Amino acid sequence: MVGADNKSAARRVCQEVWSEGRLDAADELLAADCAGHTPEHREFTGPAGLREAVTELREAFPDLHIEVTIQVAEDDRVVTEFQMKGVHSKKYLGTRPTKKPIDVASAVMTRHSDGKIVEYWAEWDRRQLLEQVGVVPTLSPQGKPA
Amino acid sequence: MAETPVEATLQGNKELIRRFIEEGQNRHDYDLIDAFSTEDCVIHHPAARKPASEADDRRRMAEELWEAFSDFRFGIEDMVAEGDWVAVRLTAHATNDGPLGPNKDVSGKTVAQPVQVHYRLRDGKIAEVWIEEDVYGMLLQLGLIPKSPRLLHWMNRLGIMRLLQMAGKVPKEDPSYQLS
Repeated sequence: MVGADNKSAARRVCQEVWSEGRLDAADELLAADCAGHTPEHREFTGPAGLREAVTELREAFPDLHIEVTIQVAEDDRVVTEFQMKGVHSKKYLGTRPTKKPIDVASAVMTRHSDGKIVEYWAEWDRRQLLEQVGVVPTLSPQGKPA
Repeated sequence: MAETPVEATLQGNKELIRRFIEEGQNRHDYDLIDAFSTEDCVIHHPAARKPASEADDRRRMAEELWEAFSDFRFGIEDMVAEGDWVAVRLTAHATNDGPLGPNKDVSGKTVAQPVQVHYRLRDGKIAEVWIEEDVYGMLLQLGLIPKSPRLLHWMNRLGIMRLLQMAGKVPKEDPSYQLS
């Protein structure tokens, strides 16, 4: 079933590329001209663009891992909702490591063609991450990561 | 080719969410929004410190949003349905022409904010909502926070953020939980 294959591909991006830092898997999963739309980099193209985003975040959060919570698939699209977790262990956005844990919700929609991801839309709240590593003040007691 | 019963259900679910967005949220019709939601509907949003599950909280979120952005509307970019879920990719178009957040900011600026929302349906109503968006990006678009994270960091370290908050120059609470 195509929907199940697409879900599996979207899950592999989370597991292999983001959680295990296996950057070569991006070449297998993303089309060369895959168009990426993310809040962090706004736009990226192909596996190299994804590798760059993953490398930057994994440098600051080497234990970064993703827990998939929801997947919804129809036709050639998959939506994956997940939590990004890790510890702020290296410099991030000019800030010294705080050793603080992050736990940020994120959603990615992917469009698939011929077994490859051809478009990738990510939404996540950078504000939540910046707050959790102390770049912006925690504005309420409940704002702290669990 | 005839639709299978499953396909018909998925089309029906998408139609329900389309009406919820276009006739309820875009026309600022809270009664319709309420009629489409279960009594115990739970809304998850990155800037809301805990999920909103009370009817009064959900109504307040919507009303504060429409007060801060009188022309607030969503454009539907794409919908994906499977089982009880409908996932939607949206762009929120809104002008901040009314008081926003505890500091009552009126920036006069217009934002185009990408948002992804996942709706879980139960008995033909919306029972759970997950909203993902870059709140940081929206505050930048409104000009309510400095552009440089490094500057933000040092302002925070030196306590300048709190002084600005006390002076009402930056929001104390994140106003954008209202982008629901």
